[in-house]
Amino acid sequence: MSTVAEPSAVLSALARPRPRPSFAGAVRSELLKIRGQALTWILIAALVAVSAVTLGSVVSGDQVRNLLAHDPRSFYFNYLQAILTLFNTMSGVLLLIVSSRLVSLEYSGGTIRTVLARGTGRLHLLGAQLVALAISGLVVLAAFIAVCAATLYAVVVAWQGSFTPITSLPQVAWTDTWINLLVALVSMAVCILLGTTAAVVGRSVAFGVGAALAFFPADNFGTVVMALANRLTNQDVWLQVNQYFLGPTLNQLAASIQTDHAVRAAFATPLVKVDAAHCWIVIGVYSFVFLAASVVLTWRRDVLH
Amino acid sequence: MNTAVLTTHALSKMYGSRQAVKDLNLEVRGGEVFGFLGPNGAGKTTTIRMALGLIRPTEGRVEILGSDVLTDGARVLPRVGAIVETPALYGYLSGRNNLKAFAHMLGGLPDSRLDEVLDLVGLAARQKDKVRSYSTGMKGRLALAVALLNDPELLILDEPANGLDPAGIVEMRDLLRGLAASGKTVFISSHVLAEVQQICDRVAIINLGELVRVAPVAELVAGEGEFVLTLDDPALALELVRRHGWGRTARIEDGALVARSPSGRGRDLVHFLAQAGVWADSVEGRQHSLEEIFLSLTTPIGTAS
Repeated sequence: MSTVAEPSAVLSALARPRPRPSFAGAVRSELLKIRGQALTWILIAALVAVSAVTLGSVVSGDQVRNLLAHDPRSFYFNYLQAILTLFNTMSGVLLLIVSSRLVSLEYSGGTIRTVLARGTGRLHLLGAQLVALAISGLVVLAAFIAVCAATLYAVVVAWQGSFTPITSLPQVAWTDTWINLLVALVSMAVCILLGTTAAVVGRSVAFGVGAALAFFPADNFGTVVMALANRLTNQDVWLQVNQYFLGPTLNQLAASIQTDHAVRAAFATPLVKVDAAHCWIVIGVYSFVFLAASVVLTWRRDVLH
Repeated sequence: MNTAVLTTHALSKMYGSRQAVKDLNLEVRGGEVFGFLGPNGAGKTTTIRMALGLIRPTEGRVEILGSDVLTDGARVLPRVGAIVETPALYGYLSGRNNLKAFAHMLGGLPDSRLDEVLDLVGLAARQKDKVRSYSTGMKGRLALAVALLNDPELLILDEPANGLDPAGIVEMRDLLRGLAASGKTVFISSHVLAEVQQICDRVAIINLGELVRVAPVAELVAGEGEFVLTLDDPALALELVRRHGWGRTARIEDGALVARSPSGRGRDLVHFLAQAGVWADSVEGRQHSLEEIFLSLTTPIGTAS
């Protein structure tokens, strides 16, 4: 400490109005931590790169151009479905990693001790982390919508000379746009809750990120296993169980709401037909369980890290 | 200021069947530097964790500044600064952003306050570097800066000298003394007994989860009325003093006579020997080092080397 200031000189300046923990301050702190992680920016860069490639492929080719010229409604729905699938997949990976790391790094780095020892409550911190993650997700979503809208506008104007083919679409197109936006929001919320819960349970980066990332591939693959089990045993129970899997239900959500046109899910869907109400209940129950597990475990367990 | 700043009331903690802390009653008074000593596994860190609300006591409670930590932690802990075990910081953030992250948690502090504490610990020049590039000593200093951010009335420091070079230890000592002189209470857990002896007003020694002794350092290290005399013929002097009741515990250590005085004053012992024709070259009151006291109180009988 060769350059340390004279204690007496600084001590005189130590008398200050006493700060108190605030929720808004905790959210700002969590946003600072999210921004400060290099991995956050690497994942966003990957999202941008994959989006650019996907959007490029979606809006290129004579077939797509002809579709826009002759059936703008189908063109728009195809575009909407492609970007929704892209966003849900990429933002899901991003939020699962960022949320599980944000929470688990506090434990594995031991900083949870310092944060709690300053009077920030455990649930106060967890709430701030969830809000900060939600804000981050919304920023990513807003940026993604802006890019997709700009791309759509540029392509339509370039090919058709005006944006009229899109603005003159029937009301159902805009209703479905809002539905897709809602599905994206729900998907983000579930990913944040899942990533947070995995981190709270495991309290380590390896477990948190690993469990969060493994969940959806596991229950998507589980659908295949259930289908096989059904064929091998001729028992419908496998199909009945599968309708309560989270991943396939999330994949089915958009299609179950948009009944005016066929929507093809990119990944596994439940093996039996489910309606929108069923999807909402399954997603709601999983979300509640994730949130309740995070709250109870955060509140009750000692901090020994 | 003699009011109790930190009090533990019959504090106990069980980990499964293992008793980590047993019926601990401590009182740390305002403005004092209080040392908390014990061998590894004695229960020091568990006690500190309970004091900071990181773990719940199995029995008993901790009061800081008159408030129960578990029920009123959000109000009282912002008045405490702490380093628990190793310095816990966000390695992916710069030193300054670490301070910002913790300052946000406290509802925000002016940038000038961040500058002050960075100056205080001598890290102003490295504030923009990522903390992962800091040395152990620098991390310790930044952790101290974090602890001082909120102008705490009570500082709880777990091994604050860890990783510091000798000059850093001296500066840390001066800083802690300065903090105590300014009216702050400092509670230090440390293995560096020589440091504790120099810094602390009182110490508590804990072993196997139980409080062994609490006393002012001066009282602990004071000898039991013994004097150390260097003489030409210590064996003859030993024979002379052992003839008297007050001299029965006399002995020779490292070639010097260690004996009590007939009156409790050193000059009377010198006079007694001089009357028998034995002249002392030097005489000094015997003091124990804190290390000797610590070992005698914490080493099981029969295992001392």
